[in-house]
Amino acid sequence: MRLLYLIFGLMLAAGASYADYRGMGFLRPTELKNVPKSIRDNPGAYRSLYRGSSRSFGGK
Amino acid sequence: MARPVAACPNCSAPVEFRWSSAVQTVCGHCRSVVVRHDVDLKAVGVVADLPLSSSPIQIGTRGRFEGDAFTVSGRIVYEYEHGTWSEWHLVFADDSSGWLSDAQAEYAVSRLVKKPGQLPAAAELQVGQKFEFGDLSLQLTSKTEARYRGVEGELPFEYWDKSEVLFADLRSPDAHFATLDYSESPPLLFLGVFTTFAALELKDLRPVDEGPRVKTAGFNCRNCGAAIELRAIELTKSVACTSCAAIQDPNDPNVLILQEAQARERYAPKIPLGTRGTLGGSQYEIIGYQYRYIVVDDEQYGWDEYLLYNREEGFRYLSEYQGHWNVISTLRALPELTTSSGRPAAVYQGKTFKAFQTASATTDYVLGQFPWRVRAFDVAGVSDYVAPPLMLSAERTDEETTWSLGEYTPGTEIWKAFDQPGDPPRPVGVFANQPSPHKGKPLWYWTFFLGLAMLVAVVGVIRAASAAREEIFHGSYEFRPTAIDASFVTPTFTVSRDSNLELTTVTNLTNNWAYFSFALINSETGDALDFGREVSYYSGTDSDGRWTEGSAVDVARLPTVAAGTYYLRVEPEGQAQSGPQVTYALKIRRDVPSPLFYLLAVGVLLVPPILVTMRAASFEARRWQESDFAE
Repeated sequence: MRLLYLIFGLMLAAGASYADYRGMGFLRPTELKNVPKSIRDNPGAYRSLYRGSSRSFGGK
Repeated sequence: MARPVAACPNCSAPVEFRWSSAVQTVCGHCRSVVVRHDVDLKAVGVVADLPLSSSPIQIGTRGRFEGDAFTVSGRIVYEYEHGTWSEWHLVFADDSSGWLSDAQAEYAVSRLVKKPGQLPAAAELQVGQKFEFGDLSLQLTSKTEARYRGVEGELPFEYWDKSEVLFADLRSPDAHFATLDYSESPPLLFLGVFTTFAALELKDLRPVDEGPRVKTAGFNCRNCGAAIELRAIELTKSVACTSCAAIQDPNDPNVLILQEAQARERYAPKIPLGTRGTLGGSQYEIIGYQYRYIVVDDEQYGWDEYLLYNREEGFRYLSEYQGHWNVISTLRALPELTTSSGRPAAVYQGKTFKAFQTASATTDYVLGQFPWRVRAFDVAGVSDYVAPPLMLSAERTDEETTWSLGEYTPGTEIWKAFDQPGDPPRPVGVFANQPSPHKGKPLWYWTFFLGLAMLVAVVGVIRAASAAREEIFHGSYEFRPTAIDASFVTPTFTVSRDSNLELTTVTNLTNNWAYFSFALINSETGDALDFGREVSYYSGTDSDGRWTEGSAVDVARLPTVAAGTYYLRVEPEGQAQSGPQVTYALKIRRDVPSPLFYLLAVGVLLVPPILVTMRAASFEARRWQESDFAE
């Protein structure tokens, strides 16, 4: 059991390092496929999924 | 060297003095007590027959004590309320004299202190008193009114006309002992030390019978007539018939029934009387059994207690409570009472035992033989102190306090030692001195956790030091929230290998907000990552003082973006009606290290030590639940 913990710990250290090196994360933005190349010439034609947030903004 | 030989004044048989300083001896022919005054011998009486003895020691037995050779030259047998014991007179090679106390196979060697100083008067003695004799600090543990039962061999003084004698026994924590002998005035002081049969290196012992070193005799039960076999002959003060449970005194000529067999509840020993087994390398025979109980909170807790006997090692006890076994020996040295963490405790041989329980133990049922006068419904105060797997127990009666040391022994080992069929009773619950199966585990796991956590931290630091943190895009912009369409795209930039991206938005927002819709678009594949970021910063002053909320700077992190050429589509929004112009800068870096996974790894590593610690704590909680200190 103790050896398992030791191996488990070493694997965790290696895994954490690999995940960080690869830049992994838990929250990934929405992925869209095949955005038209014309967007470069006409940015306004792109409709962002997050445009017009309904959140109310304001101070204290 | 020729030993002095003279003729017995009574029968003229030759009387040999092995020891030149002997004052008294017993004629081996007519059993006259022969006392020597200068060169004259005088027969002063006849000794009664000595009681049958199971001791392996006899006149002429040789041995060594602390390197000095000795020969056993005489013996006095004393009898007291709870049994008998022998004081063997030792003659050392330098002709000095000593005494080997043989009390129920518990051995101690002592010598007379010639100038003891002022000794306490008998009337002043109280159990528990402490005395200093030279460098020794001793505590009075018992006062014993003993009767002179018999004598044999050579003694350094006349001891043929003594009857009642008061002895006071004292013990120290380091196994020293003292005896105050009030048979003379002024009293005599003997100082000595406890020892073991093996340490005495005894030779020329009494021949040993077959089987375990137990000599047997017997009689018939006065109540039911069943044959009763006695094993530890001279040491047996009570015997409970295995057929009818009548308790009798085998030393009484009429075999007096101390207590009639009653219609009380009968208990069956789980290991039969007469069973022989090997414990600690010595063979023992189970000669007695008793069922005892304590009452705590109106609930009765009962346990079995077996009496084991070996001629050389003496008595041991075996207790069993709900499948939990202890092998118990009486102690020679006196434990010291103290406190530990605010609780009562006892220290024995440098080990601290925590107080566990104090109760009155009642003997409910007995079978077989006992070296003390046992009766059903005998009551004794019992205090237990634990240091698993050991348990110290003090058993107190009005006359004395007896300390014993028990060692928790798994039932399987007991079963194997006594060659019992089947399996022992399964242990129920956690016993007072049951060693924890989790002992040492929490410390091990926490130590390794610290080691592994440090390893994770080191790996994280190395990774942080070696990360590229490469800036691949930087641009400054501005927008008016009133603009109809403020969206635009950035120039392309290159992500050289699969890695995360960090997008930092630095604005000039004050008491204002902005919302940025971003799309990171691969210029080659057209794949996009679409996300939005809110940036807001407010500040002011109220009755509580200055306050701020939010930040004018936002940092977003995109996990694992594939290598390639990208551009960013940006669409800022703001407070449409009267928002001021917002300036902002965008900065993109790739391969920015994060502590997230290292913290997660440390968090996961915490789970095993926490679980192990909880299990160990749960075991200890169940142990102490049965104690006087349950919470």
